[in-house]
Amino acid sequence: MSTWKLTGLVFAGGALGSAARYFLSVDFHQSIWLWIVNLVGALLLGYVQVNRAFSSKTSQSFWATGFAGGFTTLSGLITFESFGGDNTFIYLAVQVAIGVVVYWVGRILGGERPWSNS
Amino acid sequence: MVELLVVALFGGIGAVLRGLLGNFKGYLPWGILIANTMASSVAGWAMLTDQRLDLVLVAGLAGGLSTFSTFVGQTWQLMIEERRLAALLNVGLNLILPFTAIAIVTLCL
Repeated sequence: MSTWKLTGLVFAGGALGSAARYFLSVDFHQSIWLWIVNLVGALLLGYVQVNRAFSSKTSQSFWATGFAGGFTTLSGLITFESFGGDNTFIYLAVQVAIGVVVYWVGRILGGERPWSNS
Repeated sequence: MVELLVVALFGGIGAVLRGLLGNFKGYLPWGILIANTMASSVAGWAMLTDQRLDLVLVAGLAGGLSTFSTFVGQTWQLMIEERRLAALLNVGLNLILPFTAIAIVTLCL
């Protein structure tokens, strides 16, 4: 698989992920939607990074780097909080902590043993 | 429908840029930190200058360029490797730098 094809797959996955995010975030300026999108994306990324069905380079490019990366957004959160959001820095840090746990759950759902340290 | 296609096109471009930047790793996953900071600057600039750029730059390019999933995944990886300081720095910098970048953009406009 050439670099160009993998880049094309990242583009396709990112395009689909971004479109899905935009489609679901009917009102982009609602932080609850960003919460859900980011947590679903983190769960998905954990799943596809360990699940055998997604282990090929093509799947990783499309689903992990492309789709899960394009679907989730950190700039959305930061701009939301910068322009009108009333949440604190602690709120964002908690959100990241929950994201880490959800990502880990994704890995376990993907087939990784919880304490395998891999 | 046109809106979706615009977001898809620019989101795809953002994802490719992020994929390239993502290779830049060292003590921290610097590439993703740079992608998230750049994306926030672009989104902040677009929101302050012209609302019509929202679709192309905020939802599209910045949304595709920035990532929450890879960021938390890499933080998890640092934690599992017991690199606690690096994990803490990764979270702190990915929140502080994008905010700072937006503040600088705001001040410059």
